[in-house]
Amino acid sequence: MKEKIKITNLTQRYGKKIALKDVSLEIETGLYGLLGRNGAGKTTLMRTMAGLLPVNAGEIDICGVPVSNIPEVRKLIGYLPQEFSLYPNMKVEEVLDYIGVLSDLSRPVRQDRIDELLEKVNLQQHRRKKVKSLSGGMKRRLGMAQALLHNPQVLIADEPTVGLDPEERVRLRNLLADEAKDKIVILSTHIVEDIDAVCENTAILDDGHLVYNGTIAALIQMTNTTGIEDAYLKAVHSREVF
Amino acid sequence: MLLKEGKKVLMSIPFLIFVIVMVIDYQTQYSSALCQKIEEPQPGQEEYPIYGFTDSGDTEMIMQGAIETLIGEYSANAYSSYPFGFYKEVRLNDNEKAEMGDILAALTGYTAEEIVNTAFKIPYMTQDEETGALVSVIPDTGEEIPVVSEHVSYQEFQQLMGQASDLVGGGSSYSVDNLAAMGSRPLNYEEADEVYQQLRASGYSGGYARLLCDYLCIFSGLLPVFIAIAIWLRDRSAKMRDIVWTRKISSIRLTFARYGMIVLLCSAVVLIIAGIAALGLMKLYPGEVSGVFEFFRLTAIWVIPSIMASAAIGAFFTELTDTPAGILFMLGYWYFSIGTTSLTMGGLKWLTFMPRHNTEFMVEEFAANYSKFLVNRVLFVVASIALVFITAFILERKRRGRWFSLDKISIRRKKKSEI
Repeated sequence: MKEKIKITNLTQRYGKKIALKDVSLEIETGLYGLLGRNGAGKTTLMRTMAGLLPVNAGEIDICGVPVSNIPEVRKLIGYLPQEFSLYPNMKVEEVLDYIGVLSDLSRPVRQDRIDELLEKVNLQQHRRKKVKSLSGGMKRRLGMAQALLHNPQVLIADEPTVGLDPEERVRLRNLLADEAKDKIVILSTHIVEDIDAVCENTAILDDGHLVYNGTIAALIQMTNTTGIEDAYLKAVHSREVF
Repeated sequence: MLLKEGKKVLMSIPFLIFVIVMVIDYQTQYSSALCQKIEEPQPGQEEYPIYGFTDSGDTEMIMQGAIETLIGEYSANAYSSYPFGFYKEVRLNDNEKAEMGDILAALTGYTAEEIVNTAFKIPYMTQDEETGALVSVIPDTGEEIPVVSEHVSYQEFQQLMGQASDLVGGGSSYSVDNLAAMGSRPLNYEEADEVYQQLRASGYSGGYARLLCDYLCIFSGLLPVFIAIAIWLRDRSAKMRDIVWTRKISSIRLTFARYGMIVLLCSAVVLIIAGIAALGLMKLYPGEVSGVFEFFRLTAIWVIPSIMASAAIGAFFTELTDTPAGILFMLGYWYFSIGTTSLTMGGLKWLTFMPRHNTEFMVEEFAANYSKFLVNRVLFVVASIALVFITAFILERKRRGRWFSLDKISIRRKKKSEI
């Protein structure tokens, strides 16, 4: 199976509003940043890749599977939505077990994966706590755990660091970087610092257009700037496709 | 999967309410039937009302029965009605009472004052030995009053009773549909003995099971809609949709697992109640009861289809609209059904939502309508399963972003800032 996401000439609309315009991208194993301000089209792209939105025009191929093959895509993708919660009255391990059942994992596999992931996201001590008693950062880490539960080849994390304190942001970024060793991990964010810290490759979206796709070093070089923040601003404001 | 969904149902407040209501329903409506044995009728009485009534179909008798009942209720200013299939006493205000007096006067030819002064001596009906006409006898005096009015035709009588029914309100005994029952007469000894022997020969179970199902079906046809709505709205209220929707599980499996557990657990409650009723019957008739399986069989084919329909309606409307709109539909349907359903199987229609048979007896009427009853129940089972398939189809479309949903609207509203 190809470990690559290939997006070809993707255009997405909400009525007359064009959310994504003719976007083409190739994303390989590793941590891939998707940068853009609010309203740039990041969530639309993420939801389309996750099979939650139909493709209006163009093609998406996820590890050799067309995104229209929804049942197969669901097996391949782990999705951490931008806005989510989990059943508040369930315990941490219960909610993961439930999601494991929805992912068709057998009981022994579920138990092993839950132990492993709770350890990884540092929630082992909180496994018997109810979800509603967790802090925002803990919930986000639990969200990560649920997305990784079925060991997907692709992890899509939509703005996972929003609203977290600096310590939790670092922790979550490191988790994503760790997973990116053998997975395609897509980190969507409007926070430049997140991309700078962990992503080697990035795409910049602005108003539905892809304005950059490549390494961060190349972006800085092409824009004649000294850091990613300036490079990003220059790329967006010039509206030039690099 | 089923265990997980079952736990969610068990822990939901609407399910707890369902259990409580079903227990209260059993205690208040049914358990009194298990307090006293039905004894074998002994010869020597003219009437055996506890063994049931039979419709005479005689318009004269209908008029007689209705007018007598109305006189008694008018005098006491206490009118029986069954607005939801349950007894309710209605009291009229002065204006309404005056109107009712006018109706009675038109029916009987007596003024309201005359009616009150004579009717407190509760009349009973008998047949004039010479003429054979029905007459009402005032107990103390032996004075015979020809109650069947010579002042009105049967059509005029129906019109006037319709007015009386409007005054009393929903579920009145005087509505056109209920008037026929006014012409019913208590069974005589032979008839009573026959129905008693039938009940006894069946080991009592059939009659008591039918009465139980009659009561159980009323709330089992309504409350599961609330459970389904609570379960179906939970993903949305917990902001779990995208997480659940991107999972491997198929929409059909997810929908049927949730629906199946609601039906299974509600069914378990009514079957447990059926078991308790069967035990109560065995205690009431020690050594005489047989065929207690009938309690479970009848509950399964009678009550569970209503549970299935109610839960399916809740699931379907919630998936379709992302709102608890199913409650409005179900309440309307339930209210309409309960108000239009005959109290015994004789009035069963093909699409009667909650079939009723509010007696241990009248087994022949039940048997005569049994095929229709079975078709009715199968129709509801098939319609419920079809509705759940449609619900699963809608869910799958929503999971693929190909269906209108409130979430989609909220995304559109946010599009300027968060697309």
